[in-house]
Amino acid sequence: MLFNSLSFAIFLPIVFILYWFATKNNFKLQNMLLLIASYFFYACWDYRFLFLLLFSTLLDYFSGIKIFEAENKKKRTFWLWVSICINLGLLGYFKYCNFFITSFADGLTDLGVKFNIHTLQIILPVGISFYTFHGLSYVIDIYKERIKAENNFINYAVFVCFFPLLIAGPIERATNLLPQIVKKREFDYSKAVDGLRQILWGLFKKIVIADNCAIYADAVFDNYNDYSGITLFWGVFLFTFQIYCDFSGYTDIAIGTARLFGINLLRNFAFPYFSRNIAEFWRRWNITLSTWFRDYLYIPLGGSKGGVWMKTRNIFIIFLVSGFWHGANWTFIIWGFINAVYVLPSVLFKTNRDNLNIVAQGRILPNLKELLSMTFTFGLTVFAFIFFRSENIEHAVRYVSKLFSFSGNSTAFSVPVALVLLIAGFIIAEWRGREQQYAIADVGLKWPKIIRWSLYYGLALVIFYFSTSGKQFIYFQF
Amino acid sequence: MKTFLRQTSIFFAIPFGVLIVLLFSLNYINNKAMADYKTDTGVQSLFMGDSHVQCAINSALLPDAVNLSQSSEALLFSYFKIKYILQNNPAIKRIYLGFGYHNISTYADEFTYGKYAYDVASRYFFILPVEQKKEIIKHNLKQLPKFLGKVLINGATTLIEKEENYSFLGGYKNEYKNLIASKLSIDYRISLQFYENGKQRGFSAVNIMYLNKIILLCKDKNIELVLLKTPLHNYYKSKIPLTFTEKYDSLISLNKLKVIDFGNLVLNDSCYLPNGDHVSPRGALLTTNFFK
Repeated sequence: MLFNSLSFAIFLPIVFILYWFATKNNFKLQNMLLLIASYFFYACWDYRFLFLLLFSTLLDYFSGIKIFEAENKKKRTFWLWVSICINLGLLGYFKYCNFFITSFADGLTDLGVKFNIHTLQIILPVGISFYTFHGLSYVIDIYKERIKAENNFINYAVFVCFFPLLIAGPIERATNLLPQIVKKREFDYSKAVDGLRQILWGLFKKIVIADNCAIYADAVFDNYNDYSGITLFWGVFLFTFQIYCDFSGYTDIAIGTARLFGINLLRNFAFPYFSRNIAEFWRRWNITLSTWFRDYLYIPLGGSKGGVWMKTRNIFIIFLVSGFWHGANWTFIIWGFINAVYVLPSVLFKTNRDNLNIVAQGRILPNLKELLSMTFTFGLTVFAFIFFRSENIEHAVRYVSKLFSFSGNSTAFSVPVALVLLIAGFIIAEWRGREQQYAIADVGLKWPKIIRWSLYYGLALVIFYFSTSGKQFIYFQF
Repeated sequence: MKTFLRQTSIFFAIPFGVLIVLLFSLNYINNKAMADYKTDTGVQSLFMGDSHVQCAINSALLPDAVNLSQSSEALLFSYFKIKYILQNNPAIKRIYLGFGYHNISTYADEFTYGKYAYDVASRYFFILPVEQKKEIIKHNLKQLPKFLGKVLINGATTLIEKEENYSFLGGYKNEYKNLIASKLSIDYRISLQFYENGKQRGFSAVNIMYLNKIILLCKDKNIELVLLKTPLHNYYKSKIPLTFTEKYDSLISLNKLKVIDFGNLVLNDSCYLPNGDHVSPRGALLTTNFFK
């Protein structure tokens, strides 16, 4: 059930009405309803993996209680490692098993050893990377005594499986979400309206920008040999907007949906393409994943303390693991590596905490320095995304060499003017709203209703007009 | 909470109401336009079919004929068009119906109920009977907003365009210049029309059923039906799977149909478009001249 599908458009109002009316504001009943709805939502993908989801939930639920109740550190550590090993074991098996087998076989072949490869027919359970990280953060937080274990299984299961974030995040923390789940929730009109507005904006980003950019980005990446360097630039430029609008559009819909149920999810994107350096970009891009790795990997490794070697090691570890988290492919690892190279100088020269404010805050336009630094950072991001999008390393390398070759057959390729105008309009909207939670959060709040609604209808019409055939969200595969 | 529900209900009810009003109005207007359609005086022959006929017959050069073919028009849509046209145009004595090998492939189903339906079926939506409308909506549920958007845009052509540009009507169109047949394009075309995921496609039950319906309709109205196989490049012909040529021939002989077969006409490469199964303006001139 995609967020941009008719089935979700039917599912959401039903759950919403049952949630606020049938449960008579009893939060226990509401949680039970949310859990059933979430399991139904997940079962629409593949009901067989419900058992895996249930197993993972039970594992972390009991591990959390065991860690919390353990009398000594040894037992606490034991239960922590039980949870970590099983969680990562499942993730490794379902997501990375075939990657390791093929990489091992390729390695042997390179050494001249013939190897008959038999990969396993493993289906990747949707959302596994996300719910595994939910569970892990929960048990680690209990181990670190940041939170208490949740004794009510329903409450805990809702924290892990809450349907807006189950498939592709944002990666929630128990410290943020659980306290909201275990207490009574009152309907908040302005929060619900804001949620609907954020859903509308998310749909616009996904359906209008991402899906339409995808048509041309796919065509260029799939046939890069036929195109000239400038076209390849267009291809990766459009992919850069595709990936951002696809994923941030998804999280806007997820956050907006959660707000309809009176729940605030963590922010996941903060206008990353207006970043003035790469460190700022990573504070604004996929924030919940970045902070997850920061808190549960980078800081335990020593963070940016220690000498040059330790800082370098930690930066590379966090970015390589982050890249690998995205998918079982060397392209993601190289993407992570490139970003580590980008970020490293700012960590070594201690400029990574620069630009903590919003760019051009209180001004309409950026100054020249800000403009140049944003353009440069965006350029670095675009280049790295070539590896993210490519099928394999060879594809990426050929794409890059063709991009800078300025030669070869120059096949005519034209991006529709309408799409260019839409992207330009989107950038302006994002820039105007960069001080908000999402671009149109404050648009028209003080306008007369008829004008405000006209804006929403206009957006909806653009969405309908430019809708393609319902592409899946890119981050579902992760 | 009540305010929220009231406001959201109003918010969604307004466009829904507008949509319903638009759909009903356009349905009436389009049906009337189709029912009122009259061919020019003296027209006795009708050319119907998809882009193959649309590109091949320039009816401006034929005083007693009109070409109402349109790109991607499946036989299902041709049937309902013919039904309407015959009602109000008793002078029509003959129908040339474009019928090639690709028409019996499941490729044709993509335009009625498949992935291209939102673009093609939406042109004819208003002139279809209710049952067909339901069937097409059922097959476009996944892309319903886009489909309805296209239906409205296409339906509005009756209001804002000249008759020849009505979304369902069609007519001769061949603006491709300086192009010639290319093996690469022909290979791609063949793979599209006769194969899917590397496997040979099956036969389109819907299109074959509507061919039979057109045959019965013409018999009933005492109209001469002639099938028209437009010119095909030799390389294209050589690539058509045998099962399709056999099925095609069996349909012709079973129904004892008259066929004008341009398939064996030898034309040079410049008479074809790159895909080898459409003729260029030069090819169109040669094909049209046959009917003079």
